[in-house]
Amino acid sequence: MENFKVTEIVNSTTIKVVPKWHLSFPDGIEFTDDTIQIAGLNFKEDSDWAVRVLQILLVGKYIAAYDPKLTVGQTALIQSRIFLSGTDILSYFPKKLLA
Amino acid sequence: MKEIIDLYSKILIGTFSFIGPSFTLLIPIYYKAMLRSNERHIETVGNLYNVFLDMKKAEYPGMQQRWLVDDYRELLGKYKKEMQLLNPIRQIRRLFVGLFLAITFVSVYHFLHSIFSIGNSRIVRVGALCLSAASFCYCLAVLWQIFCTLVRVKADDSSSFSTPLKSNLEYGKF
Repeated sequence: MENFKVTEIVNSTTIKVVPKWHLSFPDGIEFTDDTIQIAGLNFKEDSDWAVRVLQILLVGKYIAAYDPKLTVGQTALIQSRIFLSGTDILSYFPKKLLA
Repeated sequence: MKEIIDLYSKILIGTFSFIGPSFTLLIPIYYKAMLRSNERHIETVGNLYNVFLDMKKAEYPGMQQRWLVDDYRELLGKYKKEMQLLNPIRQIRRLFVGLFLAITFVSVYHFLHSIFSIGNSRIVRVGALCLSAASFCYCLAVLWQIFCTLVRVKADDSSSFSTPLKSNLEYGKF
């Protein structure tokens, strides 16, 4: 279910998508935004190579996002697991660099 | 020793009769998931190859670039190996060749041990038994790889994630 198109890489862990995502909670609070933090990536925000990898992989591509969670003090309001063609984006990074 | 070799022969036959039915049942159950996983792997390898080529061209400070190129080469190799493991015909061939060789060598051992044995064939007998054991170990390793692959195929399926993030269009909000 690839429903978002990646338009921009904000930093090494955050992407911008169209259309905007929408998240609503049972207590009536709703959020809408176009940035998503990729869950599982913990590189420095200015990591050049990570930004470059994300640009090659994601810009202009359709993605699916699962398991959204609200973040605190981050660029994006939520973090979510990102799947490109059914593959978790974390699979594109060497495991020892993710640790 | 004779009893141990007899027991080993029986285990070989038992494994042979276990693998046939279990694969007849397992492959149809997992076939579609394996095909999907294989398609995903083909796309992943293509994307990773693009990243790898870019890493080779890019210029990052110090040793970082060399590490990255090595890491991505390793990652590509891992995915290519996984793609081979997702080919059921290839895996069945690997499994049965190992098992068939193990049974053939243990049969050679029993034949040489019987009254048809010609001359002093002790070295050949021990050799046949060792080759049989090596083939059986290979067969067990392949079997382990296949079961691990089947578990991974199921775990990697993105449909197993229950909470998709929806767009505002899906909520009718613009």
